[in-house]
Amino acid sequence: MTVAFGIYVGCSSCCISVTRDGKFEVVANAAGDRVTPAIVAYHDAEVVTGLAAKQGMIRHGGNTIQHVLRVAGTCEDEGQGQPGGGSGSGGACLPSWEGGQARYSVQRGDKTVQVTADDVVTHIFSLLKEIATAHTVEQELPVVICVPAWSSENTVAVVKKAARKAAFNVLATVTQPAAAALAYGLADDNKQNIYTVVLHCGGTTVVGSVVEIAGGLLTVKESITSSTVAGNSLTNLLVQHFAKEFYTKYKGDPLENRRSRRKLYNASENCKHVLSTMNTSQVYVESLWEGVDFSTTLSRARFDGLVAGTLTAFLHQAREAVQRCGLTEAQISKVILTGGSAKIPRLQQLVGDAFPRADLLCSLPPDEVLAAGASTEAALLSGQPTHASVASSLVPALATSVFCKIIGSKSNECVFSRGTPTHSRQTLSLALPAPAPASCTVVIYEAEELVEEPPVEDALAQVDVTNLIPDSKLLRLDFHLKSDGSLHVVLQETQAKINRTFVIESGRS
Amino acid sequence: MTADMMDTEDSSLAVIIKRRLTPLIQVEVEPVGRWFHIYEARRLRGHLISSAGESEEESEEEEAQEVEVEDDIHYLRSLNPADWKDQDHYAVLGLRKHRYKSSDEDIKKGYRMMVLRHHPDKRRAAGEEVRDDDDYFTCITKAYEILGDPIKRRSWDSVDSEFDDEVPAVSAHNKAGFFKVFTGAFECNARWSTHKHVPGLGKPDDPKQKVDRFYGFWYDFDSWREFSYLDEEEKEKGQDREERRWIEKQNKVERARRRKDEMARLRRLVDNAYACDPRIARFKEEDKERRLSQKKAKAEAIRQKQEEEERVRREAVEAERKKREAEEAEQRAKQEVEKKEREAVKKVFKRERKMLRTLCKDNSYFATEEGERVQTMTDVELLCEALELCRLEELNKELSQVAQDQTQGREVLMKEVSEVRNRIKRDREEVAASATRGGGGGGSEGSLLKPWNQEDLQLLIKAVNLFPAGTTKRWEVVAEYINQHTATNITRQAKEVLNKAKELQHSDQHMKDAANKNAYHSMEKAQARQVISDSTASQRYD
Repeated sequence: MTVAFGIYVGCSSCCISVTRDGKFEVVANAAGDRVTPAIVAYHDAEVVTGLAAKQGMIRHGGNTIQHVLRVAGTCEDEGQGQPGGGSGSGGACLPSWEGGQARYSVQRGDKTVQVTADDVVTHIFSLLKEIATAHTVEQELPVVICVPAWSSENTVAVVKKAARKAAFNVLATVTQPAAAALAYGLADDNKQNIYTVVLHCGGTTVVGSVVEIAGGLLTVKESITSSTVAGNSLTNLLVQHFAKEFYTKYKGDPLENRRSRRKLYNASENCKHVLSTMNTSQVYVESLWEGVDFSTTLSRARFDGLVAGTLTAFLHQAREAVQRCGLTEAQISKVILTGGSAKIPRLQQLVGDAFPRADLLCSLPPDEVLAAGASTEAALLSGQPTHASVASSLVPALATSVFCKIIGSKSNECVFSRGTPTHSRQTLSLALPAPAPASCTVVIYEAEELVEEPPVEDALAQVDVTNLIPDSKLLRLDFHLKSDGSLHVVLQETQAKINRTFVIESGRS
Repeated sequence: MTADMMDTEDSSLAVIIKRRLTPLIQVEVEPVGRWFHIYEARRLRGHLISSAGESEEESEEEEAQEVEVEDDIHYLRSLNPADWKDQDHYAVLGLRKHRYKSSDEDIKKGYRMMVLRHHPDKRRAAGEEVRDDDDYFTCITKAYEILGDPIKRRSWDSVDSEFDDEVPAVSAHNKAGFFKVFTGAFECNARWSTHKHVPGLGKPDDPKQKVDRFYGFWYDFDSWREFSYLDEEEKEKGQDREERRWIEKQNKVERARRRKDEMARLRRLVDNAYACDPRIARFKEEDKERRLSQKKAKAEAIRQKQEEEERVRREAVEAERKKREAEEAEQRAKQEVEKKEREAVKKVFKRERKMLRTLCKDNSYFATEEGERVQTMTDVELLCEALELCRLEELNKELSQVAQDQTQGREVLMKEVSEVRNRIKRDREEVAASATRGGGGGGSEGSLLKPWNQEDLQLLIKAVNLFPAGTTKRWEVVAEYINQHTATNITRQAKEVLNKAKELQHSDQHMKDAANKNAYHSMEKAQARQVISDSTASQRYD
């Protein structure tokens, strides 16, 4: 069985997952973390990536680049409209635009070096490549990359190029909501027609999307991105809280210099992570300000209190997306949480309250869901003969759901739900009433939803079956939706040796 | 959907199609997920449905081409088990027609069939008489032994007598029917290739690249043909190790020789083909033409370049010449104008002078006496020479105005004469002054500031003579001497003194003469003063 990798690259972190024998698992990096910070630091002689770069930010803030995906492949005017990372950036390198390309100038030794955003992305992929090769002995690394929902085509192109440079065999890219749905296997079932909300709570952005899954095909109906509040805002709230506490204790402001601010930021982030799983967290920063150590504990309850206001804001995007699709919260049957911030139990609870009738899917670690989804897709693709990545994904599909009912019995089933693509086949076995009558009537009708008494005008075909014998139990119906839009039906009953084929023609558009 | 079901259809079912399906809509979907890929694959397959159908038909055809095993009992009966090595194994297994093309399956099948039909037990059962020691059934087992083993089969195939080792020669006939003759030859030799996909000879209008590939492949032909089957004796037959070794050696040599022959044969085939190939001839011709045209184009380019250079050079020369001519013409015109002007001035001069002279002459030189007249005549000449044009004109005007009055005319004339004289004198003085200045120009500034009078010069000469060369700090001493003895109160430095001495030494004879003259004059003056004093009164100086 071949291995297939899935990669999620976001603004602040990246994650790689592998699918082997139909099961996916997230690959841990050298430090044992399953999620790697997407940070690149240019030191004097070497390029440091990942966790080391993040820890090095205390000292090498000016040469450290984060949130590179935000600017990669953008030009100046669209890039500037986006936040550089707020106060949490800790004085990291900010991009400038030159010739339609984002560049960073970093100090290496005595020289100032210009680094393009593309280079930085390539470094991130080289890091991921290292993680992947540590996991497998295979030379070929087929990979599907999940990119944030807001990424432009240019960004995707940059990401693909960088991945190819790092010797990955890029099979395709998938969007965030699609990857999330794939990870939970929602697209495996082609009988159902469901609406799913995917709420991504990342480090710098919150994305709320509505995905319609019909006939096993995914359609992203709406996707709203916001970067006003995100995971980093929570950390900043914690930083403020700790700074206040420190001030009351030692009458010193640790936010006055960049170094101690960064130290406190790192500690706060750590604390935030710990509080997602534990009830209390110990915060200890050595020599935070003027050689004074800082040590405190924070309980989850206190944390929830601090961030409660911000967390409600997270939900806003999801709610708005649902409203824009003309849906109500009650129609949503699944909610998927992705992104690191979605690990916060309080947020999960809030989402559960907001969509009371939906299943809240957060059984997988939310920060690994996207990579897992990408690797699921990679496994699907790598098994197949390579067909060119499909650019146009317009599919002819049914405009209305088709149902089949035996009048006078409880057998009433959906044949094809709305949005089912052509070439679909479906086989139904409808149970006849318990003592089989001599004759029965089967109605095939179009409707939005399953109805007990289909209106006459909705009926497509009516089949009167006579000659049934008492042994008859099941009516077997084979449906085939052809590419020209016609529906071929084969009705069989084995006991009474009934076999009949008929065609419901497609209407003219 | 069997036929017996069909008749029940009408009676048991009544289908009423009420209306058509709602028209399909286009849905934009994410290109992910199992169902999407299934859908995509189906759609792709739908596109390829025609070609897929073709391939199916082809495979059916192949299957239909079932290998037919022929049973040639006469041939089998004629076989001698002792000579199994010389038998045609394919014929024994009933595959005479298929030979090397028959698959392993076919061979197995043929063998099974032969065994079924010709096994001694079977024949005995059929009442045929079978001798145990030399039955032809052994030949069948031997044939399968050879053909059933891929290595042994290969060595048998290599020496298959059915194969035509002939190579078409280079001849006019073969050249004319090149493709007819050689296509077959290459096709039957292609079976020796260790590589699959042997390129065919191709068609008359193939591109050069394809033909090159063909010959490249055949010149590097890698043949699997080997001749171990023709080994003289089997190694195992040797009595002892030495003999076996010797046999092996013999076989090896023989095999190498045959292989070499085979290589040479293939080589000859390709060489002959190359020589006969009309395409190669065409390519050569084309190549030649191209090279020729390239050469021509190159020569043409060089010639054009040279012409261009020549033209540029000529143009430059022409421009230069024109420029020079224009300059010369200008110069000439200028000179002409100047000359004319000069001549005009000269003319005016001449006229004015003449006028002056006639004026003076008419007035008999404003003189009464003869001597005066002569004097005035010379003066007039002087005026004519020395006066400038404008001044001359003015003078003439004045003279003509006062012409009646003799005395007044004379006055004017005399005034002018005296002026001219003064001027001449002044000029001379100036010249003299500049000459002395020029003489002192070589000396230092000090000598200019401190002029040397006669006495001092005398003193200098005296001092220089007094202190000859070689005296320590000679010029200081000389300067001190002059300073002590001079009448003027000018103090001189050693350097000044040195400069003046040098000046005196180097200055020309004229200067020396001038110095001597001055000295003489001063002596005379002194004597004259003495004379005057003598005439007035005698005085005692003691």
